[in-house]
Amino acid sequence: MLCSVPADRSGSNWLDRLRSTRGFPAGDDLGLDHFLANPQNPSPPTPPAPDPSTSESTHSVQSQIGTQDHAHSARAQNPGGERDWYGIMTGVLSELFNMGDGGEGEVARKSSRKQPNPRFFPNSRTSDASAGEKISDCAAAAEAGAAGGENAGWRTPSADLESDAVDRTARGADVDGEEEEEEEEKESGDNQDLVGYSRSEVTVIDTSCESWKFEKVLYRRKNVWKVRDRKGKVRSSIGRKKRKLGGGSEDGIVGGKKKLKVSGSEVDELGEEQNIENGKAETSKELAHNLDKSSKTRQVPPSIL
Amino acid sequence: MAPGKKSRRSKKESKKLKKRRNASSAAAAAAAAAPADPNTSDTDWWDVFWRKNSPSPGSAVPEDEAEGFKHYFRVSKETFAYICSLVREDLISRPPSGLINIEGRLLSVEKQVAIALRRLASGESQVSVGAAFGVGQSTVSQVTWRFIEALEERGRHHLKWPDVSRMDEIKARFEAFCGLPNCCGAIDATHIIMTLPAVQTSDDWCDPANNYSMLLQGIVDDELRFLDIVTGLPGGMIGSKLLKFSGFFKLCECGKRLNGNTKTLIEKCEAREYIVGGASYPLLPWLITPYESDGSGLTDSISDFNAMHESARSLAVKAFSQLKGSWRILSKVMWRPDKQKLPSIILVCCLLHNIILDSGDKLHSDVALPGHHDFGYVEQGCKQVDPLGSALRENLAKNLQCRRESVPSK
Repeated sequence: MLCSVPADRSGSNWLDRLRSTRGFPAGDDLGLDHFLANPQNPSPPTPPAPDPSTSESTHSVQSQIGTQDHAHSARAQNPGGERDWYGIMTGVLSELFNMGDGGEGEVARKSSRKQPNPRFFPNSRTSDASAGEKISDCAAAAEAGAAGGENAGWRTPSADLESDAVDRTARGADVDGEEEEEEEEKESGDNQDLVGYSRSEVTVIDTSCESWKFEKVLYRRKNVWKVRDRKGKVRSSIGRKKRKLGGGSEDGIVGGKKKLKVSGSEVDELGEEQNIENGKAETSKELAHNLDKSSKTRQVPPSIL
Repeated sequence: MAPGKKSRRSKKESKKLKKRRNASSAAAAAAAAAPADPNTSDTDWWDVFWRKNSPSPGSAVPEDEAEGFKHYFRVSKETFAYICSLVREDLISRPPSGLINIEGRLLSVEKQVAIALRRLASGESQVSVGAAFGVGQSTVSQVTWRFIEALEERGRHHLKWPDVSRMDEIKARFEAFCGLPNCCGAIDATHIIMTLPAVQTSDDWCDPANNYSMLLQGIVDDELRFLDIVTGLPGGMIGSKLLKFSGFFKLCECGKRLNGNTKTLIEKCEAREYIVGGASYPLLPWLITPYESDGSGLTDSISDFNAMHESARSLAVKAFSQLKGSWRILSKVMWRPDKQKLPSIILVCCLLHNIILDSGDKLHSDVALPGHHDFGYVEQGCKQVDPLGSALRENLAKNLQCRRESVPSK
């Protein structure tokens, strides 16, 4: 409940008890005229500590606001009592707005539930982390924080340790991503001379090849171009047909593409997700699109075909 | 008040339900009808479209209905029916995924093909194409992409390297046309210009004319038919580099393409199969480029050769002008296209170009682009010269000169 009821008042009714907790005289002289006319207000008790439950807290705030009106009137009558009412007011305000300094008699004020220094909370399973996934995980963590209440709120020392660990994981994920890319380059051949090259992923259609359509990675430094295969990214129209007709073995390829779309480190991957296409593969594109939108890097164009 | 509102709302809901039921029953009926007779052609869409877009005085649209059809869709009604038959299986709408008209009816295959062709042919925005057909922008987008995916697979046989007998015919026609024996085709490349969002802009896609573009390289026969294409590579790449990354180059280098019969020239020289290309391409044993002018003037035989070479090469230029003129989506600046999908759009335009030629349709004279297909781009000469290529070029020039000299004597 709001606060413990004094034993000597246990016999009085609830209104008296409420009044006494709020610093109003209890008894028969409850009229406003009497209250205003009587300069000797009893010294108000210390403002109640914020309540654990939201509903109760709201109730206490409302009652204090109710008190405020009386206090205003009393101040007009008796400036000497200003200091007392100031204490109540400060208590109310500090509870409402979480001001750093509480009321004079405030005890053990509960801390704010907001995280003072929000940090990324990427999921550790994103080993091939991309900007997009990081953002999504961050958003998910933020949501979890919002829903999880106290546990996800204040950065307790243990929480600090945890988040530091997560940060380390995220950094590790980045490193992993780089390593993965290096491995990919190693697989494709002479990666030593690709340092300093710009990288772009392209879909090439070449009717001289058996499979007309395939994914390539282009590396460029000035006039030097190098083309590498993107492993496992062969897109044939037949494969897409199979996928469209209800899954099958091509799903793996689609999944791979989906992963790449979101996890690719290039931002330009995320910038292409506005086209309308049937099929599940677009789900991730939409996600990336939304992420892009949320990061406000650019205005999202309508679909173009 | 409240009960009244409630009743009104319930009335509305019941109306909506009725509508939905009607729509779904219509869709079901249409779906039931579609598989029953897949060859049924729906011409209602054309009547409605023609009424809506009939020629007004002073407009470029022909008065004749058949010509009007060609004007809007670039193909005759017969070729249109053929294209529909190619993609019908993929485009037949089945509820609930079927695309539905504003009237609540499923879109017929014909209307879907018409929407897609109009979008590709005009290059107009999805909104304006949709308005012409009474469908929304999103429908145009979906229909066009479905059509592209379908034709990309079903129309492959319209773009392939010719077999020996067909190649012999092509070579004979080339020789008759420009006097170059054993010439199999002409190569050229063009830029498909686009805009990119700031986050995607990269020097890789920025071409020498400071546009963002994607390259299309094509080899065409004497009838302007595409025999081979490569697309998807960024505009920052130069033409000779694009050639080297192409599968055609690799096949030629390892002797798996342009490896047909050689032809004996006048002075008992042999000429292997080759294609012709502009000065921006390297001179290779299978790719003949024109002689470069060093400023001191060219001999008559070389000038003659260059003229003949140019007449053969100009077929490729003409083909690209026709391609970009017929399918204006390629000649307009594409606004932020999906770079993964753009190659498919380009390929399908090439397939449609070939389908028109294979069907024997005659394009309107004003369809092709009036100027060069790659207006604003300067051809950069390539210095690479292969000795075998150089020798072949000399033999061809000599052969041409001998033929010239022998003709008056006859």
